[in-house]
Amino acid sequence: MLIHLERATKIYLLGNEKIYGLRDVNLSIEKGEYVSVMGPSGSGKSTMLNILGFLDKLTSGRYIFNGEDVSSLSEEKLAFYRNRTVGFIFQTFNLLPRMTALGNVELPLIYRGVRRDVRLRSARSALASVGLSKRMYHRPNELSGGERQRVAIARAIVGSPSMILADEPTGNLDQATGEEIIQILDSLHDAGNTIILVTHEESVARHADRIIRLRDGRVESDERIR
Amino acid sequence: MRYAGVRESFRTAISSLRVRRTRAFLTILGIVIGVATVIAIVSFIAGLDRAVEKEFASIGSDVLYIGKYPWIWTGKWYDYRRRPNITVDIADRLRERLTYAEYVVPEITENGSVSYRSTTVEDVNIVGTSQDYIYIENAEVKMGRFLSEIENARKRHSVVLGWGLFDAFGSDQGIVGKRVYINGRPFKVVGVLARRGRAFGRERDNMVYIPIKTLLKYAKHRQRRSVNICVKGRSIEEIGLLREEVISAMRVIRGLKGYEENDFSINEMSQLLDMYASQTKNIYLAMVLIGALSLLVGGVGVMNIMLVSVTERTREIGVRKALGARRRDILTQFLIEALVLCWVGGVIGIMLGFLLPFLVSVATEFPFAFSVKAVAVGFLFTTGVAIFFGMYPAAKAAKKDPIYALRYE
Ligand SMILES: Nc1ncnc2c1ncn2[C@@H]1O[C@H](COP(=O)(O)OP(=O)(O)OP(=O)(O)O)[C@@H](O)[C@H]1O
Ligand SMILES: [Mg+2]
Repeated sequence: MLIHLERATKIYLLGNEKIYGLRDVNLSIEKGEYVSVMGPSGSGKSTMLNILGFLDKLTSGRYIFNGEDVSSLSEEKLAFYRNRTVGFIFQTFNLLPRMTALGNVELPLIYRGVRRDVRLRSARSALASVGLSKRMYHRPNELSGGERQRVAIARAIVGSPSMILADEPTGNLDQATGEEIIQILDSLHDAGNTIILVTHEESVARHADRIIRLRDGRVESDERIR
Repeated sequence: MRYAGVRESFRTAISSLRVRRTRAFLTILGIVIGVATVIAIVSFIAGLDRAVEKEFASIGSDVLYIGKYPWIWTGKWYDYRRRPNITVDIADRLRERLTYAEYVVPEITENGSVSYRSTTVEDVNIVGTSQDYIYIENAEVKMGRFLSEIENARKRHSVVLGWGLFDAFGSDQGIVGKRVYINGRPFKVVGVLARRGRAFGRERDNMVYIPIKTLLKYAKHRQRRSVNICVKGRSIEEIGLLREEVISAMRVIRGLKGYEENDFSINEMSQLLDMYASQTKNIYLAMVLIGALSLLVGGVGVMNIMLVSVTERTREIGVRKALGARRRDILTQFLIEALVLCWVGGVIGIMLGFLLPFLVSVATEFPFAFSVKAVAVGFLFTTGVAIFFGMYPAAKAAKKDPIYALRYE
């Protein structure tokens, strides 16, 4: 088992008010699974992804990752896990604007301390695998939305992470381009990657093997569709 | 514990400075001015030191100069004026009494004209002195000899020419033994000195030397003239003992009572050196102040631009953290950016700082000194400023919460 949440709760404090991001969530995800997460706005999808991706910590409950309790890691350890085990894909791409596509894809390996030549080789092949060999030296503002998201995917997979976490990766793209991106995720899953995909669109969610629906921070349903 | 992406940080820093060229330039102006000030003054003083060293080397520091007036005035001029004159007679009596002195030489100068055949040189320094003058001044005889004791005692019309006059008179190799006219009076040339050059802004080759008693015989207002007495010590270690001895001998000669103040001045090189040192110390202090002030202003500017940069790039920080950047990676990135910013200012400052003294040295005779120390100081200062003023913004960047930073618009 790759991921196991046990009574996972995340509370945000806004002044004196408690806002529940997650409420007593119990959940397990196996290695190699392809999971969609759905739910209305504010239901806790992003919160869950942030917890799973070591960007944030639970208020209470436990997060077991790869058999290890990672509920209360230090800053340093969190950074380590983010770097080694997670590939993030965001709705707004989040590429660094002053760097080339290649530079952006290199970043996770820089923070891993990988040698420059090895780094460049990995980054080039990651870009090639999303079909961007010809766009390596372009900056984000010289790329289309779909191309930007493909750079982001290359950046997510360059370090061979344990899981790919995508938060509405098609949200800023038109239908056709979104399809292309989902195709890439499908093929990544076929290659054995674990993928957790947050989406609003039923048709996108249907690509996964399993759909988890959240409401008010709780798991409303968890169904296997394949 | 390696710091990831130092090289990448340098590249990021340079590219982000390029993007905001104008703002970066305005920010580092303070650094530029601060460093330029420090460098300019350090190299000015290095040049001055070199010049002064050269001057002082020409005059022995084992010589005391007894005169009516001090070199460095501390009292009222009329108090000095009221003092009795120093005479050649005093020099003779000192020579008998002083045990720590090697030479005691009286000296007095006048301006006049010197003619040889059809050539007349005006405005020549006519030095009246005695036979030992040459040992005190470290002058060298090129032809003939220097003045003798007899010539002084007999008030003879003998003259030793400075190199400048010898030159002005056509470098006549047979000039020794010939007759020249000083202020219209005939003098026999007994020798010529080798070239002496300048010291303390004084041309020392445009001089002639005659027996002091001969000079005093003809000097205008001779009863009002006070001579200077140069006393050369046996060794530089005993200069303090010599000074004591001179003071007590002078007091005995002058018949001063215990409560009466000295009515003469003892001057020496070290007083000038001390004065020079204290003057340059003030310049150094002013430099440190000006430099520190502009660096402070520059540093605050750097802190400001870095804080703005950190805020503007909140999202970038979030992305980097999401990709695995640790706090210290972000910290070094922003520190490097502050360093690059300050070093650019430092390099411009160092160049400007040397340019000014260099131009001055081209325009004047003032020597130019390239000081490695100054460069090191400038570099150290800028690095210090960068780290000191860059630390807070960098720490602020490093502490940002990735979730919050990623949502920042
Ligand atoms: N940093 C925060 N501070 C306070 N409340 C927060 C914070 N982040 C999320 N929340 C709250 O937690 C709840 C869950 O938010 P979350 O972002 O996980 O929802 P979501 O399912 O991703 O919604 P959307 O579909 O709009 O992206 C919401 O009520 C939200 O307002
Ligand atoms: Mg969300």
